[in-house]
Amino acid sequence: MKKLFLMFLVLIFIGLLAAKVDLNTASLSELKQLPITEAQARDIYEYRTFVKIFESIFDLRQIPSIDQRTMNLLRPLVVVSLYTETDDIALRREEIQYLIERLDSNEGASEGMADVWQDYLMTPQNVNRMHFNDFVSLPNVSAVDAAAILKRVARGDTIADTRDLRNTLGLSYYGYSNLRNYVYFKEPPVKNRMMFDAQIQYSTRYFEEGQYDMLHEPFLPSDYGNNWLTIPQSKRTAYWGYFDLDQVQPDIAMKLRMRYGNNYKMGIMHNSPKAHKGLQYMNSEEFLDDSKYFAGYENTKLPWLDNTSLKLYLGHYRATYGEGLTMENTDFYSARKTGFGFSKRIMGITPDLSKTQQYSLKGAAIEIANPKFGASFFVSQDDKDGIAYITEDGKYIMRDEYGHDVFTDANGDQYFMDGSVVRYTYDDGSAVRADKKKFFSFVTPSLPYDNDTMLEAEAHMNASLYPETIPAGASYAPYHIQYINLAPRRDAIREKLWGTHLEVSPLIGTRLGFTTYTALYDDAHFVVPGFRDLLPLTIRDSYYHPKLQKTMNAEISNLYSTQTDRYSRDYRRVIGIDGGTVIGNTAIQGEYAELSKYGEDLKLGDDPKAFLISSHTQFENLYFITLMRNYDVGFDNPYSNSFSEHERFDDTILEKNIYALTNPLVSDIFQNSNQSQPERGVYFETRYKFNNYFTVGRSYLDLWERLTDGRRSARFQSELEFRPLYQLGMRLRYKNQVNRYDDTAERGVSKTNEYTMAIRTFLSNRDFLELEYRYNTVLSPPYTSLTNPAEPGNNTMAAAQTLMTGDYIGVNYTHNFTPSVKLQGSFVYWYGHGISHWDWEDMEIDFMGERGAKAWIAISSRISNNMYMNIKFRNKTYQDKEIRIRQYNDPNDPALDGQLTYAERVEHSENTIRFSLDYRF
Amino acid sequence: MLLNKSLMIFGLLLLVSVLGAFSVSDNYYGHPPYGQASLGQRYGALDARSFAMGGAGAFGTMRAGAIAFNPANITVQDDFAGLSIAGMINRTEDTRMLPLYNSFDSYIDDSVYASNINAFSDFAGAGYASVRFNRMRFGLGAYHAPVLSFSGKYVEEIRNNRNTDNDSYPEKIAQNEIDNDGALMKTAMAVSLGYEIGDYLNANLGVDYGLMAADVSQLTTIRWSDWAHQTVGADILPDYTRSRDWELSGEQMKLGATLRVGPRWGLGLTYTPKTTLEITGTDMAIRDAYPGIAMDSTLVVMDGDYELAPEFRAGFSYFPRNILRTVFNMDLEMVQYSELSDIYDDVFNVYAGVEHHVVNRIPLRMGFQAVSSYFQTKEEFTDTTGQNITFVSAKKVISPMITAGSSVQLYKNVVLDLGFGYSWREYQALDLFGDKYYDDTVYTGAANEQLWPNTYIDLQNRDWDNPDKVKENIITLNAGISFSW
Repeated sequence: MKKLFLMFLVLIFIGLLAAKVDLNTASLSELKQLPITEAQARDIYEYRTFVKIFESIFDLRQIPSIDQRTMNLLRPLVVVSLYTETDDIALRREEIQYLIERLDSNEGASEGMADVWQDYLMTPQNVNRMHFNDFVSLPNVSAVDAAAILKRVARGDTIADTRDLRNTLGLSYYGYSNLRNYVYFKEPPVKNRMMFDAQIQYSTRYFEEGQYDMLHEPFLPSDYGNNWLTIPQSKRTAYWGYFDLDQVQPDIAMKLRMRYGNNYKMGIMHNSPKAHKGLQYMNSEEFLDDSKYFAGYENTKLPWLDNTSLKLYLGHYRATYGEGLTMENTDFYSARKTGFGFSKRIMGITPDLSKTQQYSLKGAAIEIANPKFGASFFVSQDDKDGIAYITEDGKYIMRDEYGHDVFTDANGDQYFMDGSVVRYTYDDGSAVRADKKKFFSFVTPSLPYDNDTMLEAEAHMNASLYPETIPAGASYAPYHIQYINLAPRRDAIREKLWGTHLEVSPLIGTRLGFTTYTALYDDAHFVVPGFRDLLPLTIRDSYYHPKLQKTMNAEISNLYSTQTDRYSRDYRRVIGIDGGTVIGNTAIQGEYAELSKYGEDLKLGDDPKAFLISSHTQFENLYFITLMRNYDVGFDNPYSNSFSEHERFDDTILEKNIYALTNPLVSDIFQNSNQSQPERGVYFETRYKFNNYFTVGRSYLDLWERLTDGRRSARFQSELEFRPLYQLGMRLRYKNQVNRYDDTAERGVSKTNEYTMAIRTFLSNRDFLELEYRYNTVLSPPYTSLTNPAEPGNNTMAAAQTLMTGDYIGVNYTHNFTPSVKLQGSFVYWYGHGISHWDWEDMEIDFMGERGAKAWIAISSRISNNMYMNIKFRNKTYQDKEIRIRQYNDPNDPALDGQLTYAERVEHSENTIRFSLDYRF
Repeated sequence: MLLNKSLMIFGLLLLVSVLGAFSVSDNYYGHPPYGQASLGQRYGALDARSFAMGGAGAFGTMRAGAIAFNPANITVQDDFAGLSIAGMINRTEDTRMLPLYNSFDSYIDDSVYASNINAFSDFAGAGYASVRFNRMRFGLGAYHAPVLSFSGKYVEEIRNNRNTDNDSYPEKIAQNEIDNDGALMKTAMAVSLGYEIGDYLNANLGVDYGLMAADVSQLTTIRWSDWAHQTVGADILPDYTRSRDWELSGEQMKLGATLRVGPRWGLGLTYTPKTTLEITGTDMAIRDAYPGIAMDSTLVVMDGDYELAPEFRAGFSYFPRNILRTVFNMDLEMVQYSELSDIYDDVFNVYAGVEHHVVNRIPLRMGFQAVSSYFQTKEEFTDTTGQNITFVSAKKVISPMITAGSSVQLYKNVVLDLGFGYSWREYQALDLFGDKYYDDTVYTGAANEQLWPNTYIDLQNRDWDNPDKVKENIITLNAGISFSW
């Protein structure tokens, strides 16, 4: 009876409860039934809809129109049900929000890898089913960590949760703390469903200093030996003036990704960079040509093969193997890419929506992997940009299949020159036939205009090279090369590429791989003259030929040719072997690659080669990296992206002597170089955390030799972090680099010292304040531009050495108003006399020369759980170079002899803006 | 009750006073015959809240100023009647640079030769009232706002920098000035009809019809200095004056639609057809006499059409759940310049902004916009047969802008909105005053210059081979008071 009575009471209670209005689920019309005004009902509804879910009835007091009396009135009439967010995606996103923001902030440096990592953060992989490459592709997870987990799983153990993962023998703390967010144990945190990520970014930028100089170089008539000639001063004789590059032109990038769990993935990205003709002027075919897109399928549980995974991608994809010597396709160079820590490679096939355009792969790729064996096959067909040999009217110079330059006579018949003999037919009697365009090199152009636009510009420049009128009786001695003979052409080289990677792993952590690719050029021959013949082709005025014969140019003359005196082919083939093993807490890995050139494809050692071997030893608070590399000058593999100190073509005429080139745009081969410079050397890196107070931060020593000219250099950097309190950190960093340390009498010797001190305060709510000061010195032999008095004529004093000094002071501040609104800002002032500084901003690196001041502010707004907006504005005001404004504006005036001339600096004020919107649903 | 609302409709207070606006460059919006009338500078949002949110407002529910964006906004307003007045102050910095060549005659950079900073102000107002009949809501509104500005000020001194390296004083030879004043105003009535399908679910159609008028005076002068007259002699150097006084008149219509799709989303769409205005006025140019040459006086009677391009604007408002109550607005606008002439392409403008209520319901607003405009340019040359050819083309200029703002509730129904915007643009343009005019040998007939005792000077009008680089920085402060009932 008692039980029945209790049950009766409970039923009454439930009934009463049921009669009440639930603030978290009631409709607006239900709320209007309450004894409050319609406006108050609407306020309650809007608070729930637009501000937050009610956690208790007392939240009503947060609504301005609800006073205490009204709340007391409502209290018996309403309930607040326990409401939890049922959307597992939203919950997961909340959980990993700070990690996604961190990845976003590194997107500029990681070239599309952030997308892959973000996907794995949202939909983690099962730690008990992952393979070696899955682990080592994640940020800060080492091969030793991977082997430790795999060995445990292989013993039949199942890792049950994060605590269990932490107990894995051999797994470092750093490996664990980074890995735990990318994996799940029993049940995935989100169920499979369609997920979308739409991004748009609008940003303005200025050309980098090297590009700026390149685009300012004019095409002028030769006044050498033409004393009667008045040089016209015309802004339009340079690409800068011709294309009006003063104007603000935005980069607009749009990206849409869709996926169903980790199984089905699709995406499309379009990037319209500065100087691109713009979206509204493109038809759909052009839009697709300039876009990147993919569709892919991944499965880690193949029904017919145990513990085997499959990846299949159509469209654009990235392929990365070993140490990036044979295949790691990207347009962007990054210095000292070790492959460890956060400087990672994502191994194998991954979808590609990065901004890489030139070295993108478009086609199909398949990858099958299990713990013992892995194989991938990929094919690609894409039109690439190149520097073409052109005639005076801008047409391609054509070649026949035998490697002859083919000309067309007045009748339209094609012929080639056999010595001094004109040949219209081959030995077999067939007519001469030209079907290959002659190219100098691949290039990533700074001006991505279409070919017709460039042709018009070249016609204008060619006309500029001649004086408009030649006085009666005078003659004109032109340049050695009187027209643009080399020019960038977009989508001009049809490249068909196929490749494979095979890998066996007999023991956990030990693997041996073989990678090869062949790139077939259907309609092009690459022809690069030898060292002696290079200057007559690339330098406009023969006056410079003896001056610019520098050994560094061997990097250019060693660009890959498909047609030489020794061989003739229409492809490029690279073969590589990679491998690695884990011994205790040390991982050793390496790669050897050869570019097929003179020798046999499968015979090792008879072709230009590159190799790299590295080891990584880790302890709980300490690691060592030792890395040795050696890249031959002739190893020209545009799909490589391996460790080096400098990018290829640094210090060649393509960098230093743009003014002398027949077409300044040829310098783009250097400006946008993606390859490592040929060098050999040893690199050593460590980091040691003594205790909670002291850490020796990332410190390294690199000793290397630039193989083109034998320049030896040493670079050392070390930093000490002292954190006496959790809220306060101090960092001292010292960097030293000596170029040509073995021969101080050499012209190229230089000694750089850099001292940095930074103080950081970690405030509450993840706010952050940092003050940084940097001081640099560079010692080098005297340069007239730095030591001469501003006087015409020769040196008037002795100079032993040049000392350049610079310093930099900056303040960074981050303030989180709430989790929804974050403000970041920085102010920097720097001074550099001939040296440059660098600064890592919120998502990008910035280089600053001479002296100036810079301030930027970025506001990140989290509009909702799945929409993010970021606005950044930067002003940079600097003086960038010395220019000589000569008296009377006439440099040749004899009255200048013995007179003072004046050097002035040009001040630039640059405003840049970035607006990005990201919607994930 | 109905009477009160009707009174509100007719009791609208609309105050507009335009003193001028911001660019001496011929920034294009309308399409007059070349040289007949100046091209106007287009106004951005005058509603301070929308302005602070990047100028996005195709769907706007909170301020009366929203009806100038889209007439169909009247019947989505949160309140049944509203009134707003906005004032804007512009600080404009116009910097002109000439190309600089190094000793190898290479173009290396640009050197500033004139920089002008001016301030201007504008005002606009709007009001509306609406009534509900069951599921229908009917609204009527009016606004008065500037559409284009033709105003601008510019001063440029002509000096010889000879020997300034040696601390010689560069004598002032002449002074050039531009003083323009005028704006195209629109006074419009708007009507909107809404149908409520459910809570936060309604569809609205609106139309506005407005009279447009402008009264523009533009004065360009070249005045020689006393020093120049003393050096060359009296009555030799001719001053120059160009005075243009003209008016624009016509009508413009705008169609709009808004759709509230549930509590989270609002969509807005507007279409403004091509508008043709009539120009009437005079263009008088006088160059004084100089020895042997009589005064040159030219009077052109201006009579023609001035066209404004059709515009499509589509936008949305997103109302998420956020602990800081948040609204996100974004508009995309297509201006069909190609409807006016083949020399233009259609352009797309983007406006986006967010509003977070940070503390005590004080909003923090920020936004971004990228707007393209055109200015016309003229090149004259001779073809191979000796015919003179005048070639008119259009140059597109992009102006990005960042905005921020907030608001304060002054009284129960009265809100003060504040907005700040920073915009800039960089482009090439022809020298506003050709250097050849200052060559005194033209007027004295002498072999050598007296004002320029420098054998190396070569005074020529710079053409498109050596255009100016122009950089304009525009800082705008916008304040608006809104009343609602």
